[in-house]
Amino acid sequence: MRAYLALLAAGFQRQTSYRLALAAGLTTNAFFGVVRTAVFFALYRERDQVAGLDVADALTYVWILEGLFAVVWAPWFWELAEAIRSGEFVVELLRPRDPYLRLLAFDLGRTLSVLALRTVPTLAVATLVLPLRLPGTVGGLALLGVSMVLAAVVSFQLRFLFGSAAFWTPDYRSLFMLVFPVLWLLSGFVVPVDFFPGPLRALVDWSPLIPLLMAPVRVATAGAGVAVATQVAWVAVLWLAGRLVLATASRRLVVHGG
Amino acid sequence: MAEHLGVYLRLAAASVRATARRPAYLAARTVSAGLIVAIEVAGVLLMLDRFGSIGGWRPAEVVLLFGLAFTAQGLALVFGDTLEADKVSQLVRRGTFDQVLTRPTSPLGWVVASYVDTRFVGRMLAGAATVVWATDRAGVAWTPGRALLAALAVACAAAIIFGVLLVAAGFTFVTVQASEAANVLLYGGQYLASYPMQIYGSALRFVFVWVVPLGLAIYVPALGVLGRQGPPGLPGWLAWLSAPVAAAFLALGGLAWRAGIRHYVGTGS
Amino acid sequence: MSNVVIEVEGLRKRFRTRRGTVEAVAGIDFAVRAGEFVGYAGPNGAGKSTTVKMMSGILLPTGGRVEVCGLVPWRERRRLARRMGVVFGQRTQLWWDLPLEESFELVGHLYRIPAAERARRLARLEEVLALGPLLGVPVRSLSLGQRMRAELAAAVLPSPEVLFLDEPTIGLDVEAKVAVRDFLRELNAEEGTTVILTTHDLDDITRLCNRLIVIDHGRLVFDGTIDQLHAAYGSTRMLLVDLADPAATLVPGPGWAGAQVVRAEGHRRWIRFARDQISAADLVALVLAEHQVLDLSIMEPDIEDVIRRIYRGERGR
Repeated sequence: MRAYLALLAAGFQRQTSYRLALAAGLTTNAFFGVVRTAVFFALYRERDQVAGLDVADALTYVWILEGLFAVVWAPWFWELAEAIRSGEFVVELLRPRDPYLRLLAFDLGRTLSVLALRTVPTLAVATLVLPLRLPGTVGGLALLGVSMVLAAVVSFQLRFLFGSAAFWTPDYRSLFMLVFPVLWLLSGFVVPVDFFPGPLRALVDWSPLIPLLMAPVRVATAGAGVAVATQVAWVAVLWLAGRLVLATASRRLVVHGG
Repeated sequence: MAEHLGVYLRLAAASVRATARRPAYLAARTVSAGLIVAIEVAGVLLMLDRFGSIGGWRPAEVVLLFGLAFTAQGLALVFGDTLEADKVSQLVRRGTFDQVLTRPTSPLGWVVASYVDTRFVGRMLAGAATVVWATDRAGVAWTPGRALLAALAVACAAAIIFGVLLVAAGFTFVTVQASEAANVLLYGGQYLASYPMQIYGSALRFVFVWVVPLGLAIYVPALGVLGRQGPPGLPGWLAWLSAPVAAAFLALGGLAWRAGIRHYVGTGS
Repeated sequence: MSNVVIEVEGLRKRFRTRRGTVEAVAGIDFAVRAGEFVGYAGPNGAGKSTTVKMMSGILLPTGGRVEVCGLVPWRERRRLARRMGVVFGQRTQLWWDLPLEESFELVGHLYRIPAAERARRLARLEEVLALGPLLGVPVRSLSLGQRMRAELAAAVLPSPEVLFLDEPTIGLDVEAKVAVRDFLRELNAEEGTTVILTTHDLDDITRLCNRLIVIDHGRLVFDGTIDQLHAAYGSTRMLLVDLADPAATLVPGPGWAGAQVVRAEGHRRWIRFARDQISAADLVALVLAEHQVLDLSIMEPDIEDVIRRIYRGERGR
């Protein structure tokens, strides 16, 4: 257990050292947040509620998006695939203890750093200036925190599954480049999923993309415990998928010699 | 001068040939770039269809702005991608820029022509397709005047984006810190200019009409294309100013670049 | 008629670093005439690459004067670029992903070489450097030795007046080094190209250069021929003698003028002698007079020793 905590700490430390990237990221977040806020203010000038969301919900969505952006669409996206391709990953499999947990621990350390240094400050400043709908109680905030960490875990699991495609195809980059823009949209990073037309929304609500952004937003705006439950369920499902992939890939490596 | 241009075109062609050696990857990148544009536009439409309008502008009209902005950005980045502050700082750090200076060409010409990113051609084409679709949906009847305005919007915005890249690159020779500001202006600026300017507060509007005039370059000519009147403070005739303003901005970029080179040669990194 | 190609007078370069001002080049004077093959040596940080950068127009001098091909490098960088060639040992000037012949084509266009002349010159270079089978190969797939030959060809294709080389033989195997050296020697001899060779490889210097400039701590420490170097620093030569009787002892006699037996192994004896104190012929005669000799040879003066002494700060006579 201590080994995993050590990895967590290592990941946290590594990510915290990227100070320049942090400043850059915060600036980008702030700018896009401001523009999107202006857009929503303009949109809600004539209407009070659309698709069940009012302006406070929309603004909360915007700033949670900006806060979680670097957590979910982690800048170190391609790392796993590249490590597999370069053969470095074989080393990981040879190390003691569970490779999946090890990778998760390190990744979580990094995302915790991003949460602490980017997400929380972004939301804190935004809520001071704008009418966001964030939980007012300690319990509510704690639930939101849990939801965001779960979003980070699901993000890792999805990245792991995608990254493992590198075991089977050398051309993973082309695949990613074509698939990710669609996932980007479907996760609600362009517009809230609530604005999707009915059938599409129903489809997305049942996908592992909801835990990434919309779940924390719903926890914030509506205190939705259901959203957290969905996240937990997906963590479990993706866990199983991850273990399956790892087992298959390890066998393949052993047989083919990397 | 014409013969110089020929050299740069050959360099650019060589770069394209090099990337074309992996055609599948090239195709994927280009399609991906177009896909990203499509996704953004789809998102805007999903949103605006729910709300009906923004700032009095119908969805198709907003999409026109998106299309113009993407086309301009694609055009600027096809050549200007190599000027991105991260890449320039890499050139400096690895000492590769010294080699650039030993060539019998202008360093800017060499850097720009040495790598042409066809990914942005995808963005351009998708942007242009968006413009066509949007004007069709908005019921715009194309006249030579309107076509000129659309072309003006794209050209001026592209020039401004290129100017931003030049300024950032110039700063990169002196300090490494320019990349964030530049990226925010490039990508954030394009996003901002894709919505009608009247929705923004006066501070944002001022910055993006008069300081980094992307708003001026895209919004005002779009007014002409759509046959709309601008809000007070942004009348339609400002479209005639967008060319000189963009040119001035580009010239500023050139000065920043030259100053950066002078600094590099003086201090030898 | 002085056909001076490179003229450096009182050249200085000061850098402002976090620790204060550093004078990388503290007043250097030399002149290089057309057709010279100059070796440019010095310990790391001596100011070699700084001076080369100032000569090629990449760096602005803080003081002094520099002129190459009659042009002030930093002021007329592009015009000078047309008349000079540069080869960096570690970095490539070729187009990495494209077949080699396309690199040559692009160089031709860059330097405005008329197509016919380019073809003719390229044919000649291909032959001399054995590039024929490599033309269709992407540069990224070439071995280091092959790539260096290609870099040289690309650099001299525009018939430059001056060629700056930075460690061109580094990392090459023996065969490749020989090929590169032969080519450079021929280039210098037949076309009269002035060559400035910055190198740590002392074989390069002994085999190629007729003049050596040594820089240390930003100052000129030596400027002359190799012979003058040995004379100034009193370097020694080595006579190898294989005696018929392995048990025989060689004892330096009165005529040996300081020559000493420094090593003995089986039949072989190593005798070090100072070239300005006794000639090789005299020493051989002395040895033959007293012993039966199976074979002998003379080892060339060890320039490495001299250079090391220079780097350590020793000043010559």
